[in-house]
Amino acid sequence: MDFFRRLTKVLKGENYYVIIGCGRLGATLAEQLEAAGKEILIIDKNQSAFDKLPESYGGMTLTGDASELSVLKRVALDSAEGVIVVTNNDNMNAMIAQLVREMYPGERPRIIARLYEPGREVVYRELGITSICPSELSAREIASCLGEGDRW
Amino acid sequence: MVKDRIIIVGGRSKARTLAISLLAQGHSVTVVNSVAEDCRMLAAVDGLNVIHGDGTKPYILDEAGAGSADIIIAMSPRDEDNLIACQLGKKLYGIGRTVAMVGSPDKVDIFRRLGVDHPICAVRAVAKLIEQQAFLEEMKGMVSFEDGRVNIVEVEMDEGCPAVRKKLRDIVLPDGVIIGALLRGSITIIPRGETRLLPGDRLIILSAGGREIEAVRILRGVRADE
Repeated sequence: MDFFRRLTKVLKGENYYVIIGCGRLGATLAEQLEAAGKEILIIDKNQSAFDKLPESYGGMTLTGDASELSVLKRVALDSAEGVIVVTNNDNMNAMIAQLVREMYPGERPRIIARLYEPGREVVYRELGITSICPSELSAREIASCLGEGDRW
Repeated sequence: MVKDRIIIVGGRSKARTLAISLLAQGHSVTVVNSVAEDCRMLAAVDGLNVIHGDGTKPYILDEAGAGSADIIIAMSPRDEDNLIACQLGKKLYGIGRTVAMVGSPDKVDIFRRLGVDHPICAVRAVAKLIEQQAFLEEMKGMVSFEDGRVNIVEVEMDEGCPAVRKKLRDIVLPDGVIIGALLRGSITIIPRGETRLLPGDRLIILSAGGREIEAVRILRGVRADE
């Protein structure tokens, strides 16, 4: 069995998260979740993307294109609590999230994808994939800063 | 013939060639392309509607008339864009038929399950085409269904073929291959095990699972120059 698959198969349940895309959001999430005691595997197709991770990061990294099924099969996604898809491309995130769900239908792993454009959420609405939309979150946050949250 | 309203998303010269062919058949065609220069090139085609924009965004598809389209064809070089364009077309606009180019052969089945009616893998299709070309002399004609899942080929018997003058029941063909009909001069025969193949017979072979080339080899033999 492939090294990564063997390694990640050992990691079970609530403690193991896979992050796809090591941009600013991916790297920050990896750092925070790992600091909170989670086992993290972060995947990016460019090795240099991992430079954004802090020195103290003790989780795993995998260089590979997660839009390829062969790469997704290399990590035991089925034993992860969550798969977080945060590349900087909406369509890529939507596709990868759906590929993962197709590979592992059902409740686990939980899948969360970032979409800049909320209008695309319709493509996977029935598949149990959660979308995070930065502009909606920002708007909500700004509204609450203004103390006018109720009106929104 | 019913004329369809067709949207093509992405693809430069491929989109152009396809659009010209579809227009010539009388369909109404709109192309969506996010590169301004490509749009100018496409706009030179007579009768072609061109929309400049990202065809994976709902408001651009709106503008392209997705609400009343019959077919959407996504042919960008990026699998993810093609998948999303087709899914938006199907789920948001109820477009009946969705076609997407797929770069990696291993994603074809998964794309089909995700709502792309006809995922087409160019790499696989071209390889298949080359394989068939190599056997063109052997196969008179060929029709494919469902991306090659079922093929109908026509093969002619001549004096040199190993199968000639044999009864069908004595010829062992691969699983999934049957000889559906036999054209002998002006008569058509639905063959049975007792039917004997004669020189000049033209066989109509039905093949599921891509084993027609194997069947042709058995019927006609392998040529010396191979």
